[in-house]
Amino acid sequence: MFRRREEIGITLVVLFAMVSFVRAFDYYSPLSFYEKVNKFKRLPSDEVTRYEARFKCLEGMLDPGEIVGFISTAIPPEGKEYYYYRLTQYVLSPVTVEDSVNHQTVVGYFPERDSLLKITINLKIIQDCRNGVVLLNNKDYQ
Amino acid sequence: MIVIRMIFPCLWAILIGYLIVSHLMHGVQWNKSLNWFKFWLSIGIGLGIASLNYFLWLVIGGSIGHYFIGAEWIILLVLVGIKYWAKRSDKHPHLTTNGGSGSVSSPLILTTAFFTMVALAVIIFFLGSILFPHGYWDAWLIWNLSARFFFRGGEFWQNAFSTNVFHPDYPLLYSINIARLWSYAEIDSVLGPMLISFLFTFSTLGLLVAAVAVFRGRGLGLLSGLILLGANGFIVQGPTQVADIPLSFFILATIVLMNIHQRSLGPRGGLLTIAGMSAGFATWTKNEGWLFLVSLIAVIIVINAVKRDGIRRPREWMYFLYGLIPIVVIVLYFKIALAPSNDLISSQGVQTLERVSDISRYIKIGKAFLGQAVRFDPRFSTPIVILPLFLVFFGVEKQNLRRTSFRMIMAIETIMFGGYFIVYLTTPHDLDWHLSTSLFRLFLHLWPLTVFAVMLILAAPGLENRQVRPARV
Repeated sequence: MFRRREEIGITLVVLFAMVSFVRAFDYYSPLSFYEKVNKFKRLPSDEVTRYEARFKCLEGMLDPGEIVGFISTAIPPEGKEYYYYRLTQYVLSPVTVEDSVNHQTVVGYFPERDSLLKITINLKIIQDCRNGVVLLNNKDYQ
Repeated sequence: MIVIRMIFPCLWAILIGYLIVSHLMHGVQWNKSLNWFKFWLSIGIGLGIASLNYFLWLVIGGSIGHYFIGAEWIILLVLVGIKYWAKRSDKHPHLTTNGGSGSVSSPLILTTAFFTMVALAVIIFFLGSILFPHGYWDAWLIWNLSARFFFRGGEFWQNAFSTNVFHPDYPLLYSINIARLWSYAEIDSVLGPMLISFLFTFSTLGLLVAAVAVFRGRGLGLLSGLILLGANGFIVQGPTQVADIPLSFFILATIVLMNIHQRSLGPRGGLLTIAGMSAGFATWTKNEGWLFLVSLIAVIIVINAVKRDGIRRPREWMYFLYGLIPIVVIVLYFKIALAPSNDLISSQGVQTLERVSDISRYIKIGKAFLGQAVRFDPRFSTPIVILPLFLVFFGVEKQNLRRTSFRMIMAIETIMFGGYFIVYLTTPHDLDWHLSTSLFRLFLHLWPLTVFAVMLILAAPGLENRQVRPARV
């Protein structure tokens, strides 16, 4: 038999858990998930997957042990400094990426094509994926 | 099917874990819940052993081939042999406390609520995993990245420790388990980290429920599960593929094993050996595991100095070291020979004194700690403040408050929170940034243990199976 206060306690715990789940479902919203699936007729892709897909055209062009440079004009999300540099390191691993152009080979991410033309004066394009991703050769590198 | 090729090595690791756990806990009998506890414990221990084996093959072989699979077979065969031999020469009486059946029926509302919430937690896990298949920021930035280096890197796997990589000094249990699944499946699918996260999230829940059921009966076990899931920090962090929940698993497992050891009768060295292994795996999971290990050892020393009966057989603690030392040696090898220095330690200098003497930092950190304890927003919530409220409604078993087991947990948590406070005080990073990106995860490390501690002192005679109470604490 339960005491009155135990009953209240159990009810409180159950309510506590329920509220938590309501808020968790607010965070991972099944509704927005359903809307996306309905709209695109497939599972929604996330930003990392989309970013990784941009680099497909560099597949096989870089050696696993290689260290390459990185240059980008993309503005990282607030509070996430080096976001695109870190993301590039993730998608290109096991190639090591350094946030500098001081390398023979440099990977570039230029979501706006105009900025690519301005910045690549000393960098020769080896491969242009035509989605913002380019592989560059540093002419000044010694 | 990739998923089948990844589930198989998980089962393999769990079997290895189960053989180790059941051998070392041989003779310890309590109630049916102990079998469940052993099962959930086997998952963490098995994954820990599998990660060490994989790491040693990387180090010895220079790259990961398929030899590590052969080594896992050998480990398994040796364990089966030991089990068979132990069964044949079984001279141990089956040691038991006055455990009873442990099967006092729990109220329907509690059982229904618990299993409904577990089902919802599974749905949330899948939803989170589909929405963020590579996990959150820290997952792809740290854990999944190093797993890629180990799997894809071949002879260049040590590039995972390049200073260009974010936090290259972080321990490897989690990353290596992901790489291990990829090696078995021969593809670096996002299913790997999802599966490892799933195992740790739900085995932590299972471990807590079973541990509380071992000590206080199934009703309170289910209640503890509901409270654990009540922190949406736990539910939401589950599918994020980071190593904080695995660390909380090993912290909880170590303390529960020590509690079972304290309350069991007869030779119980095996319990301490697994506790030592679990504490070792905590250091192999995250750097914060070292803080846990130091806190644990400090508290054990103090308890034994103050309370004469705290350690009835000092030599028994050697068993703890048997489990701990082999793992810690490997972790130290990784730290000394492979990993670069930790950013929080290497950046200390004259400015540390300035930071320590800045009162505003104490206030800011104190406020952040307090804020986290009362925080209820999704993703970040581990509302420790709600726990005393439950105690008000249920009541407190006053004699349990004075027990060594409860005081030990409180002392460890106090030291660990103190340690976290000092880390923030001396951090070379921007304090606001550091607090906002990590404090909620530090609370998560201790959330399952805190719930366990609360369940030890909660007065709920209607839910408790009084039969499971041990004769001596």
